[in-house]
Amino acid sequence: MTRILYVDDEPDIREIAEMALALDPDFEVRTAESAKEALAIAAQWQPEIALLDVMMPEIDGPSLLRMMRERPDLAEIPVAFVTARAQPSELQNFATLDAVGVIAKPFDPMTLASRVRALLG
Amino acid sequence: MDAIRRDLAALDAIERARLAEITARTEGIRGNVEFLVSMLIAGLALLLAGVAIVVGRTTRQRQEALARAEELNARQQALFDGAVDGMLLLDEAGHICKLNPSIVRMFGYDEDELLTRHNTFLMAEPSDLEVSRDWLSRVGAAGLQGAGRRHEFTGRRKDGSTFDTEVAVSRVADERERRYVAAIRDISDYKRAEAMKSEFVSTVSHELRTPLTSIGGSLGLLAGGAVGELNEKAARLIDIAHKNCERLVRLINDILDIEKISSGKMHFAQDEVALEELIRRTIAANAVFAAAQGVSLVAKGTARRVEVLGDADRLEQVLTNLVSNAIKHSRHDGTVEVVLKQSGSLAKIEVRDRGEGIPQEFRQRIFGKFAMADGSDNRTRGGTGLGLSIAREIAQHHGGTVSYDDRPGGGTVFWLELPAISELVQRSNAATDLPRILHVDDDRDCLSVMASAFEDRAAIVSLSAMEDARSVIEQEHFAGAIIDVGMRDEDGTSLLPAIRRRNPGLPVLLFSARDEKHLSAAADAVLIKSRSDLDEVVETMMGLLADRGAQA
Repeated sequence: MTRILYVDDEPDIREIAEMALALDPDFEVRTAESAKEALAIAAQWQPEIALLDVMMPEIDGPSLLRMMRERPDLAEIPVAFVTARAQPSELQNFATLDAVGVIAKPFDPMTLASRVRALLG
Repeated sequence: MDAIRRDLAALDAIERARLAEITARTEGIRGNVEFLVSMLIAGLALLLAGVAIVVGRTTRQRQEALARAEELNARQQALFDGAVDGMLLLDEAGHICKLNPSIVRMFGYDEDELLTRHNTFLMAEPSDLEVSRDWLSRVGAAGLQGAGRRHEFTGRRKDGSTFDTEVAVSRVADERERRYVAAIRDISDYKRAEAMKSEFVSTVSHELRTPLTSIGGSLGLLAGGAVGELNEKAARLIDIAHKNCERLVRLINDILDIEKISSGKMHFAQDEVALEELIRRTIAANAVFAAAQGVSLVAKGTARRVEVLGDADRLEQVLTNLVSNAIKHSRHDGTVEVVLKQSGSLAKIEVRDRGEGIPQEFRQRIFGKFAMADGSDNRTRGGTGLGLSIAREIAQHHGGTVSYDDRPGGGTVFWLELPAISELVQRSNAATDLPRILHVDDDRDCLSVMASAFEDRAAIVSLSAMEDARSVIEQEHFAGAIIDVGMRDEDGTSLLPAIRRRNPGLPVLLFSARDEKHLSAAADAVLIKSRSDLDEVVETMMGLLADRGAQA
């Protein structure tokens, strides 16, 4: 099973994403509603990829990525951003830091799993 | 004695007759002279009268003109003093000679504090001083053509606070000394409103996308059968909701794009974009949609490589818009052709359909915002009415344009035209160990066959424009040159002096359509297009290179 952590402060979107990712029978999905919760789950569960919402209250996605990179136990976990802030046409510009990819919101739930699969390489 | 008297009388008669004749002639002349003089006097009188009339009229006109000038002056003074914009009259060096009450109000200084100061006294940044000087001199140099040029500066009030201004400077026309009028407008409110609008649009879009992610996600999962089969009616309803949700997302994306373009915030990458590749990607991306509409997509002219400088994603957005429009307006079983062309320094992609064409009454506003041929059309076709407006703006940011023509035989040809990168940049980027040979010919086909004829024996730098050739000759090193003699605008031999100056021993082969004796003196080899084939050109050139190598 491939462990996937999805971090978003919107509960509805967490639920949809979880269902969409679960369409791939090999994916095991857990979600977190904040950076704090995400750090705790990531440390204990060691996901193979973390999908982070960019705009979150308190600690946003890019800050969470930096915090993960500073911790030896989380530094190696690949991260992709999910954002409602960018146009589909400018996602490349948005791929800052060392994220492996950026997914625009709204995403297509039927192809989300295969896109994440592609990011895993 | 009588005889003497007779003779004397005869002489006298002759003398008298001559005298009478002379007198008569003199009389005639005098008459003539008198006539001429009187005519002259009359003429002079007439002239004097004329002059008097003209002088009188001129004086009157001058008085009128003076009065008008005074009136104009007063009016200008009133305009100057009454203008809402701050107005400065500047001398040639930029010192303030005169100012209006708006300046006093805008900057908080009294008139006396500003007169004779340099205009940069009112600007915030030291760098503005340089900008201002430079600018003023450019307006001056441009003469009256430079009138009314605008520039944004940060102004500084007496109390030290700063504000955004827009300044328009014009040179004053009819004065002996050069002066400028500067109109200064406080645009801080406008700037604040712009920033607020940008922020508002961006926030609203983000706030709308968040719930749409949930709605679209739920509908997408239902429509995709992720939670099991739906009955036919439910599936239809979910499909309608899902389609419209997607349309709303497109609308938000388009509105964001429009906002970004209008506020100058849209970022455009500056990459070399291969158009044939762009066409392939666009066709692949639209294949599913085309198939669903029963329309086939065909690419033409994509065997050649045509590159432009720009943003590949944005250009794909433009082409996708044109292609998807063409699909939407095609009949079932129709074909949409995407054709790549290059003429001179312009690259052109045509998207041809056999649809119903553009209604006459729609042509005026087709590139406007929220433009759709008619509402019912749009509902079935799912557009936002913003696509073409965005496409044209993006094309314009690339130095090109989007437009359309009626297609002969029915339908429409929409086209995207962009400046192509000259071969100069394209070819010289390729690193190679092969000898580099310059080939100048205005016939592009000839350039391309020549390049392939040398294939792995030499790297050919192909140029069709003489200006490009001149700059390349100055900047780059070549092992040899092949030059066409009879080009459209200019004779290729005019490049020879530059080539010789740069490298006197460079082997030059002239490839001419005409057989002209003087050519052989100018070059190392001359081949005639009708008599020599490309292999001969290659062998001759390689022979010249080998000779030169042996000498070296």
